[in-house]
Amino acid sequence: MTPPDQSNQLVLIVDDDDDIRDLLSAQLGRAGFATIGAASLDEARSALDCHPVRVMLLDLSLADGDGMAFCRDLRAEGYSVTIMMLTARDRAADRVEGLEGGADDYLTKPFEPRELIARIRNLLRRGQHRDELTGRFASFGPWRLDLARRRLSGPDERVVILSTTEFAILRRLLESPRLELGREELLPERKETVWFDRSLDNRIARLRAKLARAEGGDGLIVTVRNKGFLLACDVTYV
Amino acid sequence: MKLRSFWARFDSLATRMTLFLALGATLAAITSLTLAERYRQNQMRLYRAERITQSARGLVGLLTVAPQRTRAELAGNRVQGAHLLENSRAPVRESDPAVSAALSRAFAPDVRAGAFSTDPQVCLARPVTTFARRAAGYLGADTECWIVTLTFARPVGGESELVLALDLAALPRPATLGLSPGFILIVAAASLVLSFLVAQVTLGFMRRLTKAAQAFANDIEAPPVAETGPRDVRTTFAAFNHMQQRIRDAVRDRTQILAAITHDLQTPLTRLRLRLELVPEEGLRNRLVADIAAMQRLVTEGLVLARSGEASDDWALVDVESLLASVVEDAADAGQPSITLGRVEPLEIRVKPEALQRCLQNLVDNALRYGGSARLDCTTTADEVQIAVSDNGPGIPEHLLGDVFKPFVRAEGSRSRQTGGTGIGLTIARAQAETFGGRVQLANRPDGGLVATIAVPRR
Repeated sequence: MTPPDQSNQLVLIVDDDDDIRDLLSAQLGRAGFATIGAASLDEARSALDCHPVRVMLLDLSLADGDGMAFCRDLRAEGYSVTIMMLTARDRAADRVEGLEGGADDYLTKPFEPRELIARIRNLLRRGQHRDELTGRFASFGPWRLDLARRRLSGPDERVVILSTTEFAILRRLLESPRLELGREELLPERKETVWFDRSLDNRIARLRAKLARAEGGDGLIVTVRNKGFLLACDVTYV
Repeated sequence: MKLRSFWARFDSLATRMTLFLALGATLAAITSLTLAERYRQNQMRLYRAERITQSARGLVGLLTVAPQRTRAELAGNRVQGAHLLENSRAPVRESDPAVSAALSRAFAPDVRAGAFSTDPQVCLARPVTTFARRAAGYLGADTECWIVTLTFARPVGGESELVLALDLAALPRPATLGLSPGFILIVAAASLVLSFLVAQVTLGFMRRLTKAAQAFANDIEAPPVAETGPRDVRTTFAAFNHMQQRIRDAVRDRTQILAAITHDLQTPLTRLRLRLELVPEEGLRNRLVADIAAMQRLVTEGLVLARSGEASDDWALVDVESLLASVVEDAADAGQPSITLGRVEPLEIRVKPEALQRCLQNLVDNALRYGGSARLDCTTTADEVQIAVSDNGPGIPEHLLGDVFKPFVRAEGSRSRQTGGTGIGLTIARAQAETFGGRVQLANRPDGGLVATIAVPRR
C-alpha cells in the first residue's frame, strides 16, 4: 500500500558522523528517497527552514547539543515534521523519553537497513495526520498501548504483554480507528515474507482474547466480511 | 525438642538483653536492699549500746552521789527499766561487741565493764515491773534484758562490783524482706518490663539498619536510612549511608564506562552494517552481517548486565499467560517451530515486566540454542509462581549447574561461539530476576533435558 507520492519525499539525516550520513543517504537514495544531510543541530534547523523536509532522522548525541532537547524545542515551536530518532542509546528509558519528547519513532543503532526503510515508509503513510498520532501512549477503550515499552496497560497498573506481530497489528489498527483495513494493510512490512490468511486470523483472535481481559475490552476489533478488520473505538494519544 | 525451641527463642539479642538486664537488675536490687538492711541493723545496735551505756552511767552517777537512797530505790524497783541483780543467776544469751566497746569508752580507765543479754524473764520477773512498763506504754513490744557487770578500781558506794539488769525494747528482728519470694517476684517482674523496653528501644535502631541493608541488597537505588536518633546511632546510620553511596558510585562508574564503550562501538558497527549493503556477493554479505550481529549482541548484553542493578521499569501486575504466549509467538515467527506453550495457570504476578521479559527470553534462547526445543509452563505453589522453560537437550552435568550462572562459563566446556551464545545469558537472566525478587534455578529433568525455573514470590 505504498502511496504513489512516497518516493522523492525529502529525508533530512542529522548525524555528526560523515560516513554514516553518506551511507544512509546512498541507502535511502536506492530506496527512492531524496535526502539532505546535517552534521549539527544548527544545520538541521536551517535545513528544516529552507527545505520541504518530510522526515528527519535525528541522532541524539551531536556536537552542538542534545537531540532530545532539540526535538522537544521543535515541537514546542510548532514544527510538525516527522521525527525518527536514530541513536545508539538503547535503554527503554531513552525510548520513553524520545517518544514523550515528540519523536514519532525510535530506532537503535546499529539497525537493519531494511528495517529503517520500512519504518520510514510507515511513518510517511500516516504522515498526513501525524499531529494527533504522537505521544507515549495510545489510549483506546479500557486500554493504553505503551508505544515505548510495546505492551498494553490496563486499569489498576495491570500489564498485558504483546508479541511483536500483535503489537504491529494493533498499532496499525490504532492508526486508523473506525476505518476498514484490508488484510494486506495490517502488516505492510511483512508483505514480502510468507504470510497466510489463517495466520492473521489466529493473531487477531489472540489479540481479541488479550483485549477482552479488561472490562469493556471485547468487541474492540470488528471483522468486516470479505474486507478485513476495523477498530471500533476512538483513539487518543497522551 | 523443647530445649531446642528454648534455645531458638534465646537466640535473639532482644531476648538475651531482656534476660540479662532483668537478672542483673533483680540481683542488684536484692543486694542493695540486703546491704541497707544490714546497715540499719548496725545503727540499731549502736543505738542500743548507747542506751545501755547511758543507763549504766546514770546509775553509777546516782550511786556515787547518793549510794543509800539509790540502792534502796533500786531494791524497791522504783527505778524504771533497771534493778540490781543480786544472787540470781542469769544465762548468757548474746553478747555484743558494740555494747562492750561503748561501756569501756564510757567508764575506762577506772571501771571495767562487761555486758550480755539474758532471758527477758530475769528482768520481767520483778513484781512491779509489769505495772511500770504498762504505765510507760512499753507493753506490746518485746523486751531485751541486759546484764551489765561493772568492776570498780575504787569502790563506789561501798561496792567494788555492781551487777545491773537493764530492760529495754528489743531491736526489730533482722528483716528478711530482701529475700522474700513475693518481693523478689515483684522486683524481677519490674526489671523484666524495664529490660524489655530498653531492649526494644535499642533494637529498634538495629531493625532500621537491617531493613535498610536488606533494601539496599535488593535495590542499589534504595533510599538512604534516615539519620535520626541519639548521636551514636546517627553515626552508625551515617556510616551505613556513606558505604551505600560509595558502592553505588563504584557501580555507576563501572556502568558508565561500559556504556561509553558500547556507545562508541555502536557508531563503527553502524557504519560497518551500512557498508555491508554494498557487498555484492550475497553469501559473503550474510556471513558478515551475522558476525556483526554477534558482536552487537555481546556489546548490548554486556551493557544490559551492567545496568541490571538499575530499576528502570516500574512494578506492574503482569498477565503471565500473555507473556508466555508472546514469547512463544515471537520465537515461532523467528523460525523456531520447536517452541510450545504447556500448562499455564491464568494469573497475574507483581514484577518489573521488562526484567521478567528479558529473563524469560534469555532462558528460552538458551533452551532453543542448547536443548533444541523449549516448552513453557506456569505453575503455582503455596508461596511462589514458577515459570518453567524445559528442553530436551543433553542437560548440564550436576556439578556445573551452579557455575553456569557465572559470566562466560559454558556448560559445553568450550568458549567457542559456534552455538551463537554470548556466555552471559544466564548471568543476565539471574540479575534481571533479582530486580523483582525472583530466583532462577536450573535442574536436570529426570526424563532428560534441562528445566530452567523462574520463581516469583506471591504477594
